Amino acid sequence: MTNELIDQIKKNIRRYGQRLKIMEVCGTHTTAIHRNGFPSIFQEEIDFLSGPGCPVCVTGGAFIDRLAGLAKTAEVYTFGDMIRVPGNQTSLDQARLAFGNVRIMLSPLDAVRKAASSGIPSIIAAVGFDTTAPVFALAVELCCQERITNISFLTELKTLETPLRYLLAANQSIDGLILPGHVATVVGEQGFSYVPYYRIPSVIMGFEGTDILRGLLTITSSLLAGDYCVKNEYSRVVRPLGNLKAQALVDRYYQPCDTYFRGIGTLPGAGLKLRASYASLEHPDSSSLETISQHDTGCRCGDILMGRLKPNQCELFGAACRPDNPRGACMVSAEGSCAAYFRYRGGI
Amino acid sequence: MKITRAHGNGGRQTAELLEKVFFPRFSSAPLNERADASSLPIAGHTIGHTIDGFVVSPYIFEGGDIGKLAVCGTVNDLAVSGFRPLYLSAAFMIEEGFALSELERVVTSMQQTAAASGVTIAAGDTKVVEKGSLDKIFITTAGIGTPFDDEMPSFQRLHPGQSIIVSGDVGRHGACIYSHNSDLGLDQHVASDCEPLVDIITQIKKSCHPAFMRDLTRGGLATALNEIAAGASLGVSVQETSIPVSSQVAGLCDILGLDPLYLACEGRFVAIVDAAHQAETLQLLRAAHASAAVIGKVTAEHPGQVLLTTAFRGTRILDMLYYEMLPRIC
Amino acid sequence: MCVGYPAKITELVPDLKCAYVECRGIRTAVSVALLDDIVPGDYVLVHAGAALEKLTRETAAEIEAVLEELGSLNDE
Repeated sequence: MTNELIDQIKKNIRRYGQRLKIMEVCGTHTTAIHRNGFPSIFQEEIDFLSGPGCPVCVTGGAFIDRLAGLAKTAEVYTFGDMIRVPGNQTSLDQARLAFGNVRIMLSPLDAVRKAASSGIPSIIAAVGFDTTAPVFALAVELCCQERITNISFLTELKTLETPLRYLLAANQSIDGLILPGHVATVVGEQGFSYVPYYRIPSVIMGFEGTDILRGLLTITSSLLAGDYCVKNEYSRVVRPLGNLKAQALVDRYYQPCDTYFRGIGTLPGAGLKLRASYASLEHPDSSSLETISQHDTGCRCGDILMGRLKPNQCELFGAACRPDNPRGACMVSAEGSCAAYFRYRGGI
Repeated sequence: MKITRAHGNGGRQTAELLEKVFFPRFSSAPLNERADASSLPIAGHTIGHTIDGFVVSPYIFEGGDIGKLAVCGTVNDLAVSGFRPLYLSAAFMIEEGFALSELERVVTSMQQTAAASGVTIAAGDTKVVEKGSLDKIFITTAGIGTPFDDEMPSFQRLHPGQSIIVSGDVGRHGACIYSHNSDLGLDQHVASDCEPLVDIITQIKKSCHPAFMRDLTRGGLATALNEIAAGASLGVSVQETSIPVSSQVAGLCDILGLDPLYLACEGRFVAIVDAAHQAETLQLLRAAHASAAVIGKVTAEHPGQVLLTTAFRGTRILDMLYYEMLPRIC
Repeated sequence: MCVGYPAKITELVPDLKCAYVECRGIRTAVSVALLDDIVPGDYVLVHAGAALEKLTRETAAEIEAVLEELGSLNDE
């Protein structure tokens, strides 16, 4: 069955008559595509590009430094993905070495419970896109309900719409768009209602290999048909309106704010911060804006995140910038475009 | 620069640490072989010798404890290197306050595992350290043995076309340890695959003439395959769909965002045999674990690299563990 | 940016708005506060410790069928 899918995709692309640039905007898709060997299968037909959908990759260097600094005097809870990301000066891994009290959480809810029972001043790093925001909203709600006073959140949550619009407006040469299935689980098909305006065939996809293949088939069919409606190939979890309860919860506790995307710059309204009523739970250092700094190091993460450059086209790639000595977040994050390329590229 | 946990994970950083700090200073012919056990010429004979430190936490887990592990780790290293394990020595470092009954339990476990492996504990040492200096109990074991026969497994005996066979499903020990991590809130613990491999390797050695064997420990299957490719300067090609992983280990990896190919095992090994011996090797291994499987081949292509053919017949590199594998949500 | 896994609800804890789920034999507890009308036997998508959505009945049936087929590997 998968052979037929692959053949049909290739047939469609041949009919279309040129090599395709297909972009995904989710770190989990980056990994899934590379791990399944799709670049090698579609070597002749598709350039797979990665957009700014890896929250770890786009988290600012100064944010990492701030969080690492807070570990001096508080217990810091973070997702494992963040541990090795280089900030501008330091990293959470180095803070862990120096101070010891950086704890990995699988869920912010676990972090709240642990921090509450420890009683120690604790910071929970709120990093993620639309998929994760509702879980942080639950965590904030738990703090309110239980009147927990020793926790504050250092928030750098982001929403996908603004950077995606920015990307689509800036990049005219993308032929197809893979939309993140788990963001869509929360925001629904309706959450991408702006995408058809950019006239690029787009498909909401899951993360299994077959999901991606089915989605690629739909992208190529849509391309041939000139069909720019957003298609849902993950209907087993993605509903037209999404999870309204989750959306309402995020809206209850958070409001939009400007936020910094590493390598891109500040995007207005693309972040989330706690509403004024809950400001006591927000660490004062949250959502501080910063300026692009990696031009000094030669890092091209910004161009890579915008799909203007492939990882192996960056001068630093593989030599000065490797997983054990990363210059930018795209290399150190397991989902980063450069890390995925480095880890899996030999098969291409 | 400071030593980090990644230096102890058995992957690239461990290898780099060894190359940078230890091998230049401890250079010797046996050590330069970079084998799981060193071959020592003594009075006209060849003696196999190896040593391993065990710091596992929790020290008791489903399927074993640190004592059983301390015996298995060392006898297995000797066995895969072609030596029948004969004697072990064991050094215990014990934290003040550790319960005597727990120590007895661990030592009894070692006694039983040693008996099952046909080894005698011939020397030992104990130290007690101040509370807080180490985590309850650490054990180091060293072992010696004599060759099973004249056919010593070695990188030099590897050549293109040979079959790579894994003795059972992978990642159970690593999954076991992760399942005990209280930060991760898992209710259920996966059982470790910790077991001595002396018997099965004795059988394989007798009938199947393995060119090379390696037990899968830190860094998992992927790391071992990379070590083989690098050591032999040959390529390794494996099929994703052939690699056995139990549902439980897969489930844990789904929840934590881990890759089972990098999870440690403590009772699994790969055997590399000529195609002519593939069927018999597989039969012998399957008698012990039904999940044993042929996973790939040695190849002349892409020397030094491990290439994985995916379920979709794409290809991609299967790299060594670069850093600590951390649970992820992304 | 979202590792999510399908898991089956085995037991609800209504007061805490959470549930025990099972993913291929591994049990853990997750929040179900983002969903309504969840019952044991339902399959949900879990991310960062919370169930984000219920999987369709057809998908649940498919998962059960696959798991039954794979069941033998666990019997070591």
